[in-house]
Amino acid sequence: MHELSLAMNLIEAIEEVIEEECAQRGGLRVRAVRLRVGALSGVNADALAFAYECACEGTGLAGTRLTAEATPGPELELLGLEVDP
Amino acid sequence: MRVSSSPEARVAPARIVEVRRSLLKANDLRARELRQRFTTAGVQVVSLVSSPGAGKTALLEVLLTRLRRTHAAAALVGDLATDNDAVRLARSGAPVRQINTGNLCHLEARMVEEGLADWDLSALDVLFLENVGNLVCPSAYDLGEAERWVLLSVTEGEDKPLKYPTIFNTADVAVITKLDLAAAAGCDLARLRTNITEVRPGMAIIEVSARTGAGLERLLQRVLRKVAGRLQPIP
Repeated sequence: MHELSLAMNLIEAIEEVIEEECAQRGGLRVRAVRLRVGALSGVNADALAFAYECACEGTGLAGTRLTAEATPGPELELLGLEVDP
Repeated sequence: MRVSSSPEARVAPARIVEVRRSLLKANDLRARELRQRFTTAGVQVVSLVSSPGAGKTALLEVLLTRLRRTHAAAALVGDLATDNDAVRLARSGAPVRQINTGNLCHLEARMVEEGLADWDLSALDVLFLENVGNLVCPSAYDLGEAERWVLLSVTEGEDKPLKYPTIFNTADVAVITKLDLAAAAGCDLARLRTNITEVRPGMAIIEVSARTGAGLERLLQRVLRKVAGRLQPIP
């Protein structure tokens, strides 16, 4: 139900990672975002993907893919980013 | 030179940047700071969650009125749009503050932090946080509370715990409200209790009626366990 605010948290987290990576290696282009969404997190992965897509529009992350690995626990994690080599 | 015709082959494989960061990390960190502040100040903080209309405000009204006789109690109340609940609770004479979440479906640690603002926590014995009426979203957001109570009224159906297991798994106490209406609503209390312990074995269950006062003593005792010895009679 609060997937949009989570999507905003996610984008913030991704932007932080991009900033850290850029400081080390220069530019970075994100292709896909990998998440881990637990069954007890109360979050619907499809709704989160949709909210993410909407929230990304007009940002540098527009068009990036969101993939979610389903786990049984309460976790809701940004696992990693797939970026241009 | 061999040129591949497959488009996939032309795209260099992606590099993986490992992150492993909880999306709720920012909230969890703020909640941890709040919990530390509450502990240092010696204030017992209880949050209340339930569906809309389960009786959070009615229960708080009577709890605050009773607590005010002997202790310093206050409440922070979250609501989407109005301050109706804060106005109701303020009638108890306790300090009450409203947090308007502006359509957000739950309280977050940041809002509690802002809502507390200049309050002197060390002058309080008990602080209640009344969440927005919602059994889904509040489960994910730690507010730094010492205890979370999930309320469900006898009119909501005995299978509610089975439908919303997550909130029962993140709460410490299940409070069954509107006990005075149980017979009229045809509520099977035994089944309701069984369903609660089915999703959360061993969960503390307290049945109350804000209207008749039944069960309130047990709730008050539970709140005051940790603040006993700090009696501050109000003249």
